[in-house]
Amino acid sequence: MTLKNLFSNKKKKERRPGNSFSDLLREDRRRRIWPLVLFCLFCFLLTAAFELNLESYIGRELAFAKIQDNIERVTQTGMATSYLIFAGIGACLFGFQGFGWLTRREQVDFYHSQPMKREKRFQVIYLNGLLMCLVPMMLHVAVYSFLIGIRGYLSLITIHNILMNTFIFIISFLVMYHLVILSVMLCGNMIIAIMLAGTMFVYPTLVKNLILGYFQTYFDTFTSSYADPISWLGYLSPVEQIYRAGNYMIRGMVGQSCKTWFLLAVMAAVLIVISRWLYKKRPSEAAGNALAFAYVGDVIRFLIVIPAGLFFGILFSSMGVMSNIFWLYFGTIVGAVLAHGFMEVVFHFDIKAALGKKIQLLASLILLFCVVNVFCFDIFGYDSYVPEEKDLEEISYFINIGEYENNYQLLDKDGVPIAISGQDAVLYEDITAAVSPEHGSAFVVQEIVSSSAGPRPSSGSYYVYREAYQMKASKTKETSPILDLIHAHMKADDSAASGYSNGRDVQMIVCYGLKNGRFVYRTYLMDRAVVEEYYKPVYDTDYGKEVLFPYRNLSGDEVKMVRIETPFMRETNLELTQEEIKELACCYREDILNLSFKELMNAQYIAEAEFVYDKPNSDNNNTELRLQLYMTENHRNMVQFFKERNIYLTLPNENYEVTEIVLFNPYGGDETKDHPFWKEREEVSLEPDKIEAIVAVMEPDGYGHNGSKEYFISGYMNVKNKKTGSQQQVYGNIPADAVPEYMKWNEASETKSK
Amino acid sequence: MIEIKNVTKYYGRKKAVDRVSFEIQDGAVFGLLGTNGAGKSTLLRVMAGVLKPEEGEVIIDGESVFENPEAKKRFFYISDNHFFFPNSTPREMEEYYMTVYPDFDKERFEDFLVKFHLGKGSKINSYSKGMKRQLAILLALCSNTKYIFFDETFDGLDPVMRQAVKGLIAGEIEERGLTPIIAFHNLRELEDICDYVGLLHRGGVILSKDLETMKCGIHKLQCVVPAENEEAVLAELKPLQTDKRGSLLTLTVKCEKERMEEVMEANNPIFYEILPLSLEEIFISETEVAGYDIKKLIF
Repeated sequence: MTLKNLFSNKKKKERRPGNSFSDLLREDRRRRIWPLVLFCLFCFLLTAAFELNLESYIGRELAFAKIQDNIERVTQTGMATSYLIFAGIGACLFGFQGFGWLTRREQVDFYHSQPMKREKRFQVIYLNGLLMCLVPMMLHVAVYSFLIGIRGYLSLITIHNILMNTFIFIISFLVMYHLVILSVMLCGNMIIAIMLAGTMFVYPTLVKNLILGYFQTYFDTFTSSYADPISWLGYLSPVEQIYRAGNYMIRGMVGQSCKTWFLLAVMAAVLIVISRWLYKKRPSEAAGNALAFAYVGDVIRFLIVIPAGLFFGILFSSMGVMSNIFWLYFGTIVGAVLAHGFMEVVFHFDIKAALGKKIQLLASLILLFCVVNVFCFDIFGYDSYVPEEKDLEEISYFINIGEYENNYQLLDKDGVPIAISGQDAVLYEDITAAVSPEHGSAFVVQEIVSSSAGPRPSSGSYYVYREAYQMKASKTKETSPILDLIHAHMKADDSAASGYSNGRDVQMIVCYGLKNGRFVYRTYLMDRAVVEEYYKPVYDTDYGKEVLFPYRNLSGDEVKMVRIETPFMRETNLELTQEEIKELACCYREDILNLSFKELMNAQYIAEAEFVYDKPNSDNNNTELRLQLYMTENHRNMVQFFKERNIYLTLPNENYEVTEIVLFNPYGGDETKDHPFWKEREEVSLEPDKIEAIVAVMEPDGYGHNGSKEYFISGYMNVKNKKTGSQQQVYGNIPADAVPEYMKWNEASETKSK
Repeated sequence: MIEIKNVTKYYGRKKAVDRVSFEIQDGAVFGLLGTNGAGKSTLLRVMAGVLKPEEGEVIIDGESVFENPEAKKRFFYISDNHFFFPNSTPREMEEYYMTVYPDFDKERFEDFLVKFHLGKGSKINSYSKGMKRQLAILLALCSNTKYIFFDETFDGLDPVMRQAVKGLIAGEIEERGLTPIIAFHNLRELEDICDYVGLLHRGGVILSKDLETMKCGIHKLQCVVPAENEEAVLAELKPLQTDKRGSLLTLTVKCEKERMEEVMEANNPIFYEILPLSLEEIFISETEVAGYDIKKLIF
């Protein structure tokens, strides 16, 4: 080759059109072929997985409706989970790969020296990322729908579920994609960008839970069920919002679902606007540095060091045996210093930088100590807060001395529990109204929906949500009685030690509705004596009954059957006439009216009565609605009712006898080898002449109690059905105050005597 | 024309370019000279619109370059580590640049590939450093831009290839008025190609001059004159540098050749000779006038 040759044969140059947007898109796509291929492969595998799942149902030769039902379930929950994962994969793949060039100097030089506005380049890369993710996914949705459709299983519900999950995918992808882009804009190094993206995704949730942990640990009156002092943090958390939104959607909670999805869409929009703006402002020389903007490092450092200090503080104080305050401070300092050093090393890629920015570290420590002391010493008086009566508009509360959890269950003809939602909720308003006309409305049913595990659980009951019911039923403008109770508790609290062991086991959650429109929640663990003194006057009113007994108006009108069950008697259908059912309902109503406060406070539940209603749901399948009520010995009318029909709820009785009682040695065989009763035995079978006395005091495991009993000895009874001869073991416990003398062993004196 | 007006650029707290101002005329080769860390690459990146200066601006044909696609269409920037798409071939790079530079000459590029023995379909990541540099230069030339910024591009080229490329550039200058701006750190490379030279040191411009003018105005004079006439010669010629070894005087004088001859004739020299200076010697003299020891700067 010579220089001469180089100048020869120079041909006329060819002109091309300018760089149109579509040309740029095409060129950019060519550069990004491998992530596109990878994502298409994922979508293909997902389609194949769903198809295999489909074939597994078809292959089982089940009824058409059953298969369709299964497909509806898969397209509801299974699809949602998969799509969320895919949204995350797509966001990371196209976000990091598309904008990752900003972290490499030679690529920045290459792109930014070219005749193209930054916005245009941003749009090209952004749009391509969007299309390369959405198009394969939509193709997958279309193919999967087709595969279901050609087999004839594409019901309206399935279509709805598929559309719903596609929507979930799009919004979730946008949020995550924009978050990834933002993290790349803020960083000059890919690894740090990945770390930042991961942190931003979960940071608000983590910090929120950390702060709530402090509230829970240091404020006795904090109730996490109602009070959410930093709920706004949850709204900043993509992961929390996506979870909530998906949950609401699956449960058919349309209003809340729309609100949350709207919030997510706004979040996505804000993220991309900020990212685009940052891209324009981002200096090209940031490529290769930890952060693109110097001041961002200060903010990030602060946002990491503070929660790290709080976390280590609470961690050390929870593990510390000695003074928790010391370990709290110690942990706080350790956490802050470690986090600060780590961030400095990451920002500067130099381990010696760990000791830099000392003034910032000091400022962080000072702030941390302020925050920690606010909780430790309750500087703002959280626990002692009780509003003035003049500031109160109304008060509502939950107090756990009412009836034991009453189950309210809707089952299909196969006995599978199903949810009550949407249209069905309206159908059951009349049932709940019949049970409790003033408060049994859709409110109760809604609470059932919200407390359910999902619309199609495999098992589980739907409880009448006692707390929610009481909170609503107790709402009153007559605030004095409750305020008196709370003040009495505060006074008693000041002088008493804390803890269950001193008989403080009555939980009360109070909602103060202030005149300024705010609602303040507190929880109190009250002494039984205080509650007995100050709540009894409330209990003895109609209002008090209304609060504690949601079914006080039980009529039995639409009940088709009653079942009864005790710890020793299996569930038995009773053959009762409609009149008898109504009589039983009447017995229940009278019993709860007659139940004294003390009896209620110390209620020991001995049996479960189930009222069964026959009601169709919106699918017109016969369904069964069950209302389960728990009874004590003090439900005298009900006990008598069953007794008259030869059903006895306690042992021993005419139908059941206890043939054997075996007790477990609470002291351990080695310790009691010289004891005349226990000897060296771990288990002791009682002599027959002692059985009757123990049966009288032994309480079967079953349905819980309201009292604060201390049980000392446990064991089991062999209970024999006198008619059939069948036997069963019924486990139970002997209260500490009912243990016979011959069983007691004084550990201290025995040891001394030795 | 490219105007660099009072450009200052910081990297954090470090000033990489400090109030640099000069002009680059069309149709001439501008050499940017300086040691490592002098600010050559930074200045070129500012000129290419990659970096935004804290102060000042770069104007290309009357338009500010930063975030201005119209101004950027006029140049092609070859960085010291020019980027090629991973796993790409020269053809793919050609197709990309065709979308970016509307005047890209595809046929000419393919012609060059043949002549330089660079396979159209071969993977660029299998090329040596020199071959990649060649490819970058060919892409730049075929983009048909008015200016090309070369950031130490010639470093990786062998002497034959370097001459070939210089020849190409010379041809482009002649034919279509290309204006190359070339960053060097070796003064000897500049000599046969540059028309103008700018010397950077620690972010600032020490000098920016036309080479021919520099060469014409300065000469080396070796002479032997009677001792009594020595002072008169020195007083009249006012040399920039004087070196005496025995009777032999070696002077670097900034004045016209005719004037020098006149002065010598008037002082009865035993011997005198006027010699051309090398670029190094010119630079040494010029920078010493500016107060710098150039040997420490660039050699």
